[in-house]
This record gives sequence, C-alpha cells and structure tokens, in this order.
Amino acid sequence: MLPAVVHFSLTQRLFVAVLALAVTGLGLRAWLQLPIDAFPDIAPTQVKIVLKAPGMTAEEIERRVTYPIETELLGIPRQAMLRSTTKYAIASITLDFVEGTDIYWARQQVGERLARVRDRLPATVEGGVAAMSTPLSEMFMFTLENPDLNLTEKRQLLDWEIRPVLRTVTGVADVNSLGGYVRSYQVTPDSNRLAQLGLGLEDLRRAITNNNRNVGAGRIVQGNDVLVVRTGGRLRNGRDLAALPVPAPDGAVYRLEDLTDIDIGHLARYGAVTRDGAETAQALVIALKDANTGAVVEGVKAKLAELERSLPPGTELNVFYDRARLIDTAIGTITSALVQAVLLVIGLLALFLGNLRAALVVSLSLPLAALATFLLMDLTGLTANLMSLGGLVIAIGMIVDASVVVVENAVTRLAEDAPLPRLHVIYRATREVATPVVSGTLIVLIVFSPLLTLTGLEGKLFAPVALTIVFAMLAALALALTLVPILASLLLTADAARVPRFVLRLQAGYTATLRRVLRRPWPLAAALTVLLVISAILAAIMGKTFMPVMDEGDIIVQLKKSPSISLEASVALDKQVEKALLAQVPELRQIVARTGSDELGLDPMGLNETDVFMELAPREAWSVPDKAAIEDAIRAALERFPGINTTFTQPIQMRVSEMLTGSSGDVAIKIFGDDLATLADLVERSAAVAREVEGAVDVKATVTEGGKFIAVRVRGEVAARHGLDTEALADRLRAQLEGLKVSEIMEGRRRTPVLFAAAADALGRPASPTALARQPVVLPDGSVAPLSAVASVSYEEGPLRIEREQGRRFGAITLNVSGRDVVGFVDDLRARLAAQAPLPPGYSVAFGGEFENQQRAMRNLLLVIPVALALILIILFTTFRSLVRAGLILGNVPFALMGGIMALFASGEYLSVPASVGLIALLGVAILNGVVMLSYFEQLRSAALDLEERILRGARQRLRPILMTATTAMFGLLPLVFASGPGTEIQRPLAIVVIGGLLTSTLTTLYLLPVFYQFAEGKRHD
Amino acid sequence: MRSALLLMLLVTGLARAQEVPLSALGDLALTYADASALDRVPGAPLRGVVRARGGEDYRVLLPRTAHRVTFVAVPGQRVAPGEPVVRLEGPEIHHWALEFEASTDRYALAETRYERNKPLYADGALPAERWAAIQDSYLETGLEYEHMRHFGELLLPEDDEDTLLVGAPIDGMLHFDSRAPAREERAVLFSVIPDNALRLQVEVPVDRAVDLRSLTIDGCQLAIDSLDRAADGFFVAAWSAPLAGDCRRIPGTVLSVRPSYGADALELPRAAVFQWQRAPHVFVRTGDRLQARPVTVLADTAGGYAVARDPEITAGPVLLSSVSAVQGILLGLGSD
Repeated sequence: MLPAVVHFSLTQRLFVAVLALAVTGLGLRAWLQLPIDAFPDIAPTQVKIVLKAPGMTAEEIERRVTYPIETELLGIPRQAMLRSTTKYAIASITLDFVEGTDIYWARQQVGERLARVRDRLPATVEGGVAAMSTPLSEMFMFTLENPDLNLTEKRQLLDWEIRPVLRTVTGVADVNSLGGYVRSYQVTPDSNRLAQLGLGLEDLRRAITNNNRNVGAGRIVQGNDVLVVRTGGRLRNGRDLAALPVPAPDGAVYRLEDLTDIDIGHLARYGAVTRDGAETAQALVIALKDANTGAVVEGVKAKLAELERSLPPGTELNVFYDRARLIDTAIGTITSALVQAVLLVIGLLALFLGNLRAALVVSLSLPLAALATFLLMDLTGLTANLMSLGGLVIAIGMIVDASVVVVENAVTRLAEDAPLPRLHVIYRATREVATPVVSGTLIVLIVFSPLLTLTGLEGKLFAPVALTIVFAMLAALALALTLVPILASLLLTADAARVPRFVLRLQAGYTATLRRVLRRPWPLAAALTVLLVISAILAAIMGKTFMPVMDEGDIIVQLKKSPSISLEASVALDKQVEKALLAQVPELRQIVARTGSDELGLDPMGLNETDVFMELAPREAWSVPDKAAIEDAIRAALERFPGINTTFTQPIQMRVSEMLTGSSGDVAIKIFGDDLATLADLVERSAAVAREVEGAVDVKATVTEGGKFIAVRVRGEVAARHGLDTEALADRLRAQLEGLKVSEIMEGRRRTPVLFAAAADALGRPASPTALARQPVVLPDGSVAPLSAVASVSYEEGPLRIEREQGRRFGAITLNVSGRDVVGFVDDLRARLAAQAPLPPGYSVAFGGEFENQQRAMRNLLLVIPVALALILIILFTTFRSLVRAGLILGNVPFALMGGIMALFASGEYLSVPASVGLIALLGVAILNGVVMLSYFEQLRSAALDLEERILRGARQRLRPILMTATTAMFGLLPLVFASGPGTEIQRPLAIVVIGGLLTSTLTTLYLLPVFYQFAEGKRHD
Repeated sequence: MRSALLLMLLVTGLARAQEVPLSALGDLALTYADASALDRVPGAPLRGVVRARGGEDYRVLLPRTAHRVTFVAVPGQRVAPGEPVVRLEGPEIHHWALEFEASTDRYALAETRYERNKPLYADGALPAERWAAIQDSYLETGLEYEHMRHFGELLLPEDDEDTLLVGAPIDGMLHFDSRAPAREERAVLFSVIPDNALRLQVEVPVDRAVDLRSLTIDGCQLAIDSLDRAADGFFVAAWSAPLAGDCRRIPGTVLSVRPSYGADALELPRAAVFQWQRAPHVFVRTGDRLQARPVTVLADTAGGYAVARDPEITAGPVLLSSVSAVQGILLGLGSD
C-alpha cells in the first residue's frame, strides 16, 4: 500500500500539489478561526445548584435543604463527585459527572431531581441550577467608576443598563454584579398605628401583593373583534406604592403611607467590593461552558464600547481582569517559541544537509504540517491554547524526521546516478524508506498514547498536547510520502548528496572514537552504568510535584478574618490592607477586593472572606526582577496585618483548585465525620501538626465553628394566645432586621424590590440581643408586645459552614508546600498525623489537593507506559524479527531517561506531570534513533564485512540522520526553555527533560548501542 | 498545693489569651475612644397617646337626648369660658328650658317649704317622718335644680327658643368626637382639657417601667409624672408631665415615642464591641497591651451601645478600629 501511495503522488503531482494548496488554505483558515484560549477546557461535566435561604443558619439549611437535595441527587447515574457547602443563608451543591457525560443531559437530570424535592424545601428557599459555566468562565471583570454616582446608582447601572446588554453577547452565560447597594423601596410599618387600627403585617403584605399585579380576566367578543380584558393595578413607582389603599377592620381605608414610612433603601448586603481603598461596584462576565473565550471577550468589549456612550457622563468602566490579555500573552509566547523552533530547525537542516534545496524540501514540510495540524484541530474541536500549541512546538523537531529520511535517501540514490528516470529514482528511494518511516512515526504515536489515557486535570491538560503531536506526526508522515517526493523530484540535484565538510569531520572523529570503544567498551559501559545509578538515585530523591504553578500575570490574595466579622468591619480591614499594599508595592497597578458572596451565589464566600485581586503594572515599570519578588513584597506588607489569614493564588489557579478539590492548596487534608464540634477540634489539632511539618506554608484550617447566633424561641402559650407562631415571628423579625421582600415594582425594565424593613436610623434596627429582646412586635391579633414577652432570646454558637462530600460532613485543612516536594511532604505529614492526632472511631482522613492529582497522574502513567513499551516492543520485533535487537533498542531507553532526570535535577525543577510527559517524548526519540542505527547495521549485513567494520560503516552512515533527529528535537524545544510568560512554566520542565535526555540518549545511541550490537552479534556467532 | 498552682497557671493563661501586646499589631490602624458616662439610655419606641389624665378634664354632659347637635367649634380648639361650643336642638331640648323653669319653681317651692318647716321641727311641732320627707324633697329638687342650673350657666343667649347654645365652662382645649357626637342623655357632650391636664400617656413594658425617666417626641423631652401600678397585659401606663409650648399636641394623637430609661451606664461606639467567648467584649488599652474586657450591653444608643458601668472599661481608652483583626489574633488567625 505504501508504494502505491508514493507512486500515486509522483504520477499525480498536480493533484497532490492542488491538494497541498487546499490543505494550506484550509489550514490558514482554521488557524484564523480556531477558538483561542489560554488553557484547554479543564472543567469536568459539572452542574451546580445554588440556593438562597434568607435568614437560615448553616445547620438548618443543611438539615432542611442540602441533605434532602443531596439524597435525591445521589441517585443520578454517571456522577463522579457530590460536594456541598452550606453557609448562612446559602447552599451550594456541586455535582461532577464522569468524563464524557453530556452537560445538557447532566443538567436535565439534576433539574428533574431538584424539581422532585422542591416541594419539601422551605418556602423561602430561592434559586436552582446555576448558569452553564465552568469555574474558568470568569473571563472579564470591571468596576464601574463615576465620582458623581453613589454606590446604589452604580449598582443600578450595572444591574439594569449593563448586565442585560452584556447577556446578549454570544457565549455569555451570565453577568455577576457585586458590591454597591441594590435599591429597594423600604416600607417601615408603624407598629403603633397598626396596633391602634387592629392591622398586622399580613394585612399590609396582602394589600401590596394583591394590588401590585395585572391579571388577565378573559375576553369579550365585540361584534367581529375580540377584546382582552385585564385588571390592572401594577404599581409603577413609589408614589403608587404610597397611595396603595389598605382597608382597616373598622371599615376605614387608609393609604399605605398613612400606616408606614416609605423610603428608598437597599437589600441586605451579603458582600461588597472595594477598589484601591474605596467601595465600588463590580461586574464579572461569566462565559458559557465551551464558549470561544477570545470571541466572547471581544464581543463583551464591543458591547461595552457601545454602552459607554449611553452611560452617565464621567462613567468609566475600569477593566481589571481581561482573559484576552492572558490569552494574548500566552499564545504570543508559545507562537514566538514555535517560530523560533521552526527557524532553528530549518537552520539545522541546512547545516546538516549542506544543501539549500534539500533543506528547503525538508523545511517546507514544517509549515505545511503545522497548517494541516490546525486543520485537524479545527475538525476535532480542539482549541488553540498553551497546551495544544505547546504540543506542536514539541513535535517540531520530530515532524521533520520523516522528511529528512526520505530526502536523505533520495539524494543518496540520485548521487548514485542510476540509469533510471529521475522520478523513478525518487520513487525507489521513497519506497525503500517508507516502511521504517511509518514504523518510526507509529512508535512516536504509541509513545504519546499514554497521555490520552490520563484523567482529571492532567488528562485535560495533556490530551491536547498528545492530540496535537499525533496530528502533526500524521501530517508529517503524509507529507513525507506524498509532497516531499514531489518536491524532491522538482528541486533536488545530485549535488545534494554531497556531505558537508563539518559532517565529514564529525564522521571521521566519530569513527575513530567508536572503533576505540568497540575494542575497549568497559570503561564507557562502567561510566554510563555509574551515571545510570546516580540518575536513579536522583529520581528517587528528587522533589515531585503535580504541576508547576503557571504564572497568570495577576495575583490574588485570599484574606480570612474573624468568622463572625460584620461586612462593615470586614470592608474596613480590606481598605486598610489595600492602601498599605498600594503604598508599599509600587508594582501594583490597582487592587480590587471582593468580600462576601456574589449576587448569583456561584462563589458563596462568607463576610470574613475576601479575594484581593491585584493587577500588576507593566513589567517595564517594575523595580524588582520578577513576580516572585513582588509576591515577597506583598507578603511582607501583609505580615504587618496580623489577625488575618492570607493565601496567595491566581485567578485561574484559584478556580481550578476549588473546582478539582473543593478547596485550594497544594495539599488538602479532609477529615470526615458526623459531629461538627469533633470535626472542628480534629481539624484544629491536625492543622497544628501540619504547621510543624517542614515545608508547610499557608496552613489554613477551614473554620466550621464560630457561628454566633441569637436563638429566638416562641413562648408557646403566650404567643398562641395572640395567634403567633414561629414562622409568623420569623417574618416579623426579618422585617425588622434584614428586610422582608414582599413584592417588586417594575419601573421600566428596572425591578425594584419592596421590603418591609426597620427604619435605617441608628435606633431603628436592634444592634444587640438586649435591644432585640425589647423590640416591640405587632402580633397577629393586632396587639403589641416586646419580643421578650412572647419569645425567649438567647445566645448560641454553632457551625458557620458545613462542607460535605459524597453526603458526608468533613472539615478541611489546606496548605501549600514550599522548598520540598509535595509527595515527600505528604508522607511525612501522614506519619505525624497518625502519631500526634489520631482519629476517633467513625472518623477518617483523606489527602487531596494537587497531591491527589499527582498521585493519580503517576498511577495512570505507571499503568499505561509499560503497555506502550510492550506495544513498541512488538513493533520493533516485527521490524527486526528479533527479540534481541528489539531489546537492544529498548535497552537504550534508561540511558535516555538518565539524561532527562539529570537535566531536571540540575535545572532545579521538580519531577512533575509535564516532566513525565517529557520523559515519554524522550522514549520516542531515543527509540527512533535506535531504530535508525540498528536498521542500517542490519541493511549492511549482506555486505561482505566483518562485524566491526559493518558497525563502523553503519554508524558512520547514520551519524548524520541521528544527529539531525536529535538536534532538531533539541533545538526545537530550546525556545521553550528560555521562554518566559504564562504557560512556559509547564512546558519548561518538559523541554529540559527532552533536551537533557537527548544528549545522553544520542551518546548512548552512537556508542553504547553499537557496543551492545557487537556484543549481541558476537554472542550469536559464538 | 499543686492543683492550686495549676489553677493559677490556667487562669493566668486564660487571661494572657485575652491580651494582645500593641507591638504585635503591625500596621493595623488603631484608633481609640474613651467610654462616656450615661445616666439614661434610650429604649425601643413606645406607643403614646395624647390625652388628659383621668379626671383632669372638664366634662359637659348632655342633659337631655338631642336630635341635632351642631358644634360651632372644632375639636382641639382653644376655648375660653362662655365661648359658644355647641348648639342643641330637638323636642327634649326644647322642653329642657321649660323643665329648667319648672325645676327652678319646684326648687323655690321646696326651699320655702323647708325654711318654713324648719322652726316647726325644731319646736317639736313637726313629726320626724314628715320633716324627713320635706328634707328629701328639698334636697332632691335642689340637686335637680343645681344640675340644671350648672348646665344652664353654660347656656348662652339664643334667639331661637327651641335651641340651646352651650358655651365652654373653662379655659382649655376643646375635645369631642366630631364623627359621632353624643346625642343621648347623660352622654359626654364635650370636654375641655385645661392646659395643665394634657399629657402623653405611654404603654411601657412591665419590666422596664420603673426605670422610665423621660419621653421624647420630635425633639420634645417630657418628664414622667406618674406611673400606674397595675399592668395591662405586657404594659404599664405612664403619664408624662403636662404638654406645654411646642410639645402640645392634639388630644387623641397617637405617637411613636422614644423612651429614656435611667441607667448607670457607659456609652461605647458600636465599632468597639466584638463577640468573644459567648459575650460581648471590648479591647481596653492598658499600658502597652490591649485587653479584652467583657461588657454588659444595656441598650442600643444613637452613638453605639450603653453598657453597664465597669471600672475595667474606663481603665483606658477602648479600641475603635481594626477590632476584628485583633479579635482574629485571639482566634489564632494570621499566625502562619
């Protein structure tokens, strides 16, 4: 079949040329329209339920909301993980499905189950399945600045002018508004007046809700026409509200304003946003899952540019997070590396081939293979991102291998000047190497196949790498067997066979040294064996981690304050911190901090939690060398603010950690059990142990306890006499404390809530349990009593938040590991916890976080790599028909890995998933080089030469292709070693491993493999 | 001995746990305030009604059922003695003048008879039973006459003899129910509340009544004049001093009243108070340390909280800013 392909290509040159042009055109088009993102979509199929239960404590919500829903959801098939976080007034339940589950099916399943349990939930519970986004969907954030607008007006602009417009942008799932005040009509009932008239809150509520509506009443057929009848009473503004009639039991009718004070107020705040030490309002654009991030950001920017003209004068939309910036930087970095790699490889080809035409023929396969790869990426729905383009960079050095082999053989045959037509010579030359070229490519593909079996984050990250390499290699193979022979027939001359002088010198030197080694192999063998042992020791002691931290360009510091802190106090501390940071770290362009929960509840943080988002100034303006120094400066500034826990992270890193483990940090220790107090105690004790372990930094125990509550319990007999029950009392108290939403007024497209709320003056709302107990309450029978007369008021403590996983409560400790490897750290920690903080019966511990990912990735790789090696062995056996020769080639592998490990150690990098991927890539190139060398030894078997001469001649002949293969692979990756920018942190260890490994594997291929071959052949002859 | 030492160490340890040296506070903004003394604290609003305390108003009863009652003055109007208030019409009203005339005659007759028989009874010429009957008749007609005379004194000259024009008996504020004026005999036709009788009556929660010191309505502070000793449900009635000057309100007005209760208290800003070990605390600066001291919140005030007086709180200024961060230090936050 392969000869037929080559034959067809050479006889149908025009057709193949047109096909190549078409691929070029389509490839260019694909490149232009490929969805661009910084990272691959690493989110699992995840459905989130967000429910708000105003006024309810965490324990109550867990019992009445979270638990019933979880029980219902646990029956859904294909689920991988069920997690929940329950806090004051909010429950967030996350359901992860197994890979490959259709998101729409998953959402439908969750929606159905939720609907089934809905009737059993308290009536005040609002919310449902959250927007179809992923934790990485937060792609664009801005604050709204205008010195002439107050916080309520800013929030109104965001909610009613900007949000509706941005939601029309394709790919936008929702726009989360944060900070400011949500305007409301605040109705403060005059309890005395109500009591005098025998009216209660219910009467007012009924008057408002029953009248604030337009109702269809049916139709009247008038002659030939139908007229729709509707009763209209919908309130249009505050005046309508004030004039609303309220009938009293005595038959008199009062206006609402006669019985209440009506004012403009705001909804109870669960969060706030500050910017550079002043409060503001913020919008956060959330993209749909699978949306084209680049296009969405572009669309959002275009809409904002349109909107800005219609906003009040002086309004500035201050963008502080734009994923496009990260994408541009990341893609720019990787594209630059790609271009550099291509240029280096072309230069090397020209150098080694010593002939511009030959170099041109081989080089042409580079851009064409790249374009064909883009086309395949487009067809398979792969996005252009750091990982997929990184895969292409890795493949650059290998793409040319097939073409090099074909061209080299072609020029060799042309130089023989056989009396055959030129095309036939090319055909024969290509046909001769077609099988080894396909075998070589197949080996590379098999080598990378383990990456496709990775699961979890590593799978999501490295599957695009593997796929891109597969696409590129397949494209290169196709080109090598079709277009390259055509180009060779058109461009190559006999001169091309001339070996450059420096290669001749290299060959001479190599032959001389190889002869010596073949005669006295033991010193080399011993030296390499010692190095191998050393590298094995290094591999054992080397630090291991899951993934290098990617530099996203921005910094987030998470602050955790006293769990019972009020929003005002929390914001005041945030402002202090922001001002200090801006004063002490000039590299910060601006700081935007978000405290508490967002409007949609996608990230239900407590009032004590703040994400401080720091936008850095352009690098040119930095007075310190790198981002680490800025982080040190920030850390130093934050250390001057005691009493606040701080954790460093980055926008995407934070969300990825939360998405994968429900918590952020290198290591998450989860202690499972039932009793919250015991859990809290165990978590505290375990955190104390963890702090003592070397390398532990940012040790944070999840605060579950610390909720402070005022329990109001109805005094049954007294209350019953006045018709008061717990729910009625809760309504009355909510009206006085937080505000009780009773209706909405549609003013144009703005919906303004109508609240029963206490007066906003200093004494209107009770601010202490004492004042609460003395608060007068209008009872359902119209009488008034102090709260303490109808209910007991007591102070209680309880859980602040309740975390659950697979239906079990847990407490977590998160920490980062600094200065040592994560795996070694966890081993150490595990031992210490067992000794110093033993768990009582019924409690268990699990280690998660990045450590969990690292363990899983290693487990997967250790399972799949042997399988890949076995497949390669089969291919090698098929090629050489000898297990010994196949073994000889595989025997070269440890020496290749040796170089990779040593290079990694020397560079100070840890053994991580990308480094492991580098080792896998190394396998491919090392095996390929072995095949190149050994196959020629075998080809020369027919020549009447003694074994040493055969080896020497074969090795001399194969020096150039082996050096070309190795150097193109090495130089192709060299730009990644020196590149800086987002994503290069992942590619760098990979490149270091491959380059280091190729150095040793080339050495062993050139010297040790001939020795082994000589030894094996000698044994055979013996 | 050893256990005592252990206990002492424990107590010392606990005390230390509630202290934070100022040197450990880094760059936290630290502002302080002194607790100010309060002798009264505000309370939750009470329902107040402007009215005359029972018996202090002058009530005019309707002598006979009237068919038509036409007030010529309006409720709340200040009236002087003899100032026309109401015009009464109806058959019984028309007869009232005749009855008053007859009553005058009857009283004159009874008086003459009484005076004439008095010496006879003294001389023993008149039996005791007879004298008692004369006396009773005299008193009865006298009472009837006086009763009618008192009302008659309020009458003002009127052209139409079928109607009676009633005037105000005293200086004060006129009060009557204009929506349903009295028509039945013996009903209160109107009342005139003398200036010193118009007061604010509030319903005070039983447990707070004894501490009530003053009432405030729209900037008017009113002293408490009296407090009922019997409760009505959850409340006890309290009466303010008479409403005078700008504090005067129309009788019947229902108001939301801010009460003040007597207390030996200190006022602290809200920002100073935090919850710690199941009780509200403040940080008091003593020397180079901040000490967490418990406080007993008595009431919310406009400026913060009224807390029970405690020398430990006045031992130094209390921390106003960054309180939650210092609380975080006590909780062990930020120690990594």
